[in-house]
Amino acid sequence: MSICILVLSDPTLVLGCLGSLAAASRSGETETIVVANGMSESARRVLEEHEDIVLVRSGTNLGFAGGNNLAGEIARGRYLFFVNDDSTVTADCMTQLLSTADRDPAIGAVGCRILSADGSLQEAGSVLWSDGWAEHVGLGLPADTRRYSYVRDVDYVSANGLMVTRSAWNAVGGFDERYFPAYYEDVDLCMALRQHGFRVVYEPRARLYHLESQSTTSRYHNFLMTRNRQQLVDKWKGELAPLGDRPEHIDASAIERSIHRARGSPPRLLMVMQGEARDTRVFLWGAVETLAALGWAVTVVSQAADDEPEFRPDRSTRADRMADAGVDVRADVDEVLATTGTDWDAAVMAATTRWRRLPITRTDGTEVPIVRLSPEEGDAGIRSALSTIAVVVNDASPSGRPPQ
Amino acid sequence: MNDAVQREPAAGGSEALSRIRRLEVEQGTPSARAAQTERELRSAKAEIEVKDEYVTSLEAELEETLAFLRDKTAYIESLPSVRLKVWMKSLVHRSK
Repeated sequence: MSICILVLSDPTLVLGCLGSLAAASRSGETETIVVANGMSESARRVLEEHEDIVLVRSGTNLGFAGGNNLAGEIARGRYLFFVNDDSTVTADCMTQLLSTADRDPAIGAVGCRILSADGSLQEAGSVLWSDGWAEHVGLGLPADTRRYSYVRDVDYVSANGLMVTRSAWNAVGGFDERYFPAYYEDVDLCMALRQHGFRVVYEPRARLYHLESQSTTSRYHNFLMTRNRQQLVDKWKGELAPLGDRPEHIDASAIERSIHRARGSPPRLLMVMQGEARDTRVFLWGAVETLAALGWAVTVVSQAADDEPEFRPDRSTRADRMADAGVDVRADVDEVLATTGTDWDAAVMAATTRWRRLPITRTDGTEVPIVRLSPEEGDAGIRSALSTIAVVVNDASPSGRPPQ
Repeated sequence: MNDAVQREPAAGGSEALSRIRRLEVEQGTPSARAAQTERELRSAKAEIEVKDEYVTSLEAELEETLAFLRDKTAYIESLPSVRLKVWMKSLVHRSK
């Protein structure tokens, strides 16, 4: 793997970044390329002391795209990992990214769950609208939120903590340098990857801390954002159009709609488990896994203590299997309905939850078909109830197409 | 899939190899130096282009703001109360 880092001015920031990368990388299998992107000679001297990096000097600032393309040209790894100098990665970050990239040869890029220095979530993948407007999913949520803890295809992921496979990188020819000096080159790269048939995926278990505050804005920053957004729209007008108009108010449900669209608009199933016997719960989790494998977007609400998510580097836990299957596991029904909305194709209400008796009304006024399981239901009864879900979903799916 | 670096052991594992690679990259062949010069030239031109656009946008914004201020000033000066104050001040001034 080749790690590519750009340093513009302050060389001290990158030292923390390099330290975390050394702890997270397998010795002998990783090279670190640091591009001194128009740095002064005195600042560069700090980096020259580090023998374990490949230091590349550029007399001028090549921009984010140009600097990383230079690093990409020198890089020899089968994977390229782009990371900002003001970021640090967690110990299993690279392993998690590699595990996900290796799951499917169609995956061209994998992005991290980015956390801010203040402990909040900065990005759990990002969404786009037809006017090129981009929003980071989960921005500002507490770092330990359960939300967005599953692997999913996304519109794009930021280039901070972005792993790209060599074949995908070569296919698109790297970053487009028109987005000089910065902003929107990562969005463009992800658009290009998809155009070439590659998937762009978000991996929640790969965590990265971005130390720089995202709240700092300047007139020049705003100018660049507007300029490069327009460049994106000019280049990808046809591809952006199906993403839909940006809503007037970008709230949680608007972002959720875009997340669902980016996943290919699969049928959605809500499963609420609460208070049932442990055997029944194990059976239901198995059903969830099966449904997810069939292409359904499943959200499970469970408050059971043993359903607390626990990820391990070897991905051996149920939480890992659910994350891999794209299952959204949450703890609170009210919170799910408030944030994810009510546009489910079907729901399974198990056991004693108070929601068992209530109807769920979609935004278009129709009711969500609910399969209700009673606490007394045995396995046979549950099997029978679950077997009806396929019929219910196919009948009720707004897209009118069976799950893939 | 193997995630090892393809051609030779990586820099993290061997400082000596890293040093050699660094020299290769930094000193480079004439064609590599030419490519780097082209790169820097391209980015220098891009920087000028972007800064030119920025200057144009700032000029447009300044003109817009000044026009807004002119309109506001004209509006304020047209208010009866303001005109009255101006007239009274002129009377005081004349009496001196």
